[in-house]
Amino acid sequence: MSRQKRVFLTASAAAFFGYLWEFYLIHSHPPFLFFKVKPTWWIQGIILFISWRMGVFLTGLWKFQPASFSKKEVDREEEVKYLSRIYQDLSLSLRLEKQKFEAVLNGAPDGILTLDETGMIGFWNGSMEKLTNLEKEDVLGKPYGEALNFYSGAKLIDFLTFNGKNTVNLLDCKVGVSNGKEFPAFLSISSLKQDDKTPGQMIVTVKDITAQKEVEKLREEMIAMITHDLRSPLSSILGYAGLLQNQKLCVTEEDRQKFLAALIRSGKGMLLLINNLLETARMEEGKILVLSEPVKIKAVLDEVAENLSSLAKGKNLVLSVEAKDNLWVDSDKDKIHEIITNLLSNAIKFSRSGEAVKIASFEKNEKVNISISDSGPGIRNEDKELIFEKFSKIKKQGSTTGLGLYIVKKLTEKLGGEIEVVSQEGVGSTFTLVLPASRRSSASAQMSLVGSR
Amino acid sequence: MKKKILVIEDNKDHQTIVKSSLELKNYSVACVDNPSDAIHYLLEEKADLIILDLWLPEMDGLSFLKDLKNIPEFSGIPVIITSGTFGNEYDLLKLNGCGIKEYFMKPYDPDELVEAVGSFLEEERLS
Repeated sequence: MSRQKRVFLTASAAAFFGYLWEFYLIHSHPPFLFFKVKPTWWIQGIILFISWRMGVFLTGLWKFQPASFSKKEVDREEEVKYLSRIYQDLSLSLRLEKQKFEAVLNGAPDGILTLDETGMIGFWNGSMEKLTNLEKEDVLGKPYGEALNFYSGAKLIDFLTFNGKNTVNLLDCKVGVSNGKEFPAFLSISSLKQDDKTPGQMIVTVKDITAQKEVEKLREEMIAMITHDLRSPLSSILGYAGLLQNQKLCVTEEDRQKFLAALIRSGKGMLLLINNLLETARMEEGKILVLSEPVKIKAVLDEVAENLSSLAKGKNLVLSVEAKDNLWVDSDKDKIHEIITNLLSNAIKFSRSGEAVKIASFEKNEKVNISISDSGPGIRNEDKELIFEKFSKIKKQGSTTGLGLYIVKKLTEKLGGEIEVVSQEGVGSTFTLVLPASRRSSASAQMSLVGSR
Repeated sequence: MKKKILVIEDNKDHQTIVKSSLELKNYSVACVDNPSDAIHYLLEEKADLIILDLWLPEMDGLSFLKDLKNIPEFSGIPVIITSGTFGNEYDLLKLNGCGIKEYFMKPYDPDELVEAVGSFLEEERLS
């Protein structure tokens, strides 16, 4: 029976009996009559209404009486049902939470495993499987020593008991896997127990740091290279200065000049390297502004050749510049200057005494070509891709920081040009910078063509 | 008789500096810029001491040093190392493994190098 129906029926019954009671009071017991008037239809109506409300009120009281009062058995049954439903809900949500938690742990980028008090593996996440190539099924329930070897000098458990801490981090720990794999890792070991003496369950996070190690190594090599390349000319400068200062050494005037030229040369070499380092840093920060202005190629080439003439002279090289007056580009003069300086100093560096280094410039297919050729040892085919990489140090070419050509490539890209390399081992190399010709250059070229006709 | 010193160094400036400093002390100095020339020189003329620059072209200075120590004829020649850098401590360990006791980081004082050469040759003479 629904609640409304029950209330309605009880209320009607109460109203009916109330009416009877009132009727009885009025007609059978005149002394109890409240009103000394003959009940009229509206008094009867009011009484009927009051009785009805009383009935509803009484029904409400009856409805909300304590469970122990009546229907005891039925309510307990409901209670048990209700409790069991709560329990089911709880266990379901717990299971879902656990699944969610495990999914999170499994998907974590770092390897995570848990160990119980005796060092048995209780959990092994997906990243751990990937890191070690060991399946979860193969390791669960086994002592961790069978799967992993942490070259840490002590057992994992000891770390926590000895240190009395809840978490211990091993910054750089070599991890060996039973299948022979090895990798450097950052280990974080946490104990779930608060007691200092006895270790509880342990959670071990294993972060593979192979990539970081490689970056570190690269940085170390880079720093070593830079220091070498800076120390080398500095050493020359100090050495020559020492020779010039030495009173006991009978330096002829010719030698004196030679030493001084070498001093200047070394200083310039250092300056070029420092400029290159700064330029690289600026490039990496993206702080490179490229101008577009008319640049006279001949002026730039002459300037660079003049700057590096002492280098060329020091090695007895024959340096020649070939450039026409009417060759112009709309570009950034300083950047072209830098590119040519790097290419030319490389050519000088790799030329042997007495050889020729040629700078030539010409226009072809509305492009301006500037080529720098040497008769040096040339570049091996397998190295041709590598030379433009940052800090590329190709063996046989001696000590270079490997920044020059990297800068050449990057700047050329910025200028919208191209760099072409033709090189043969044992014959020499030619680097050509190709830039779009300026309209002025093409126009004057055409005019000169017209004029020649 | 003048003591012969072989300088293996690819930087011409350093060659000049070392050569001039050593010739001042009456040593006979020969300079080569790569290990193969060095081997040729050693085969033809004996050297009393070698000054070797690491980071040589063609061959890593360390492997040249190892090769040198493996040839019985040359293994007894004292070697002084000069270099612009030593990479890291592993390289130093490797050097110690090759029996190198003395090395000069660039920039070094040529006078100190000359002094070291003197004391090495003195040791040689006494032993």
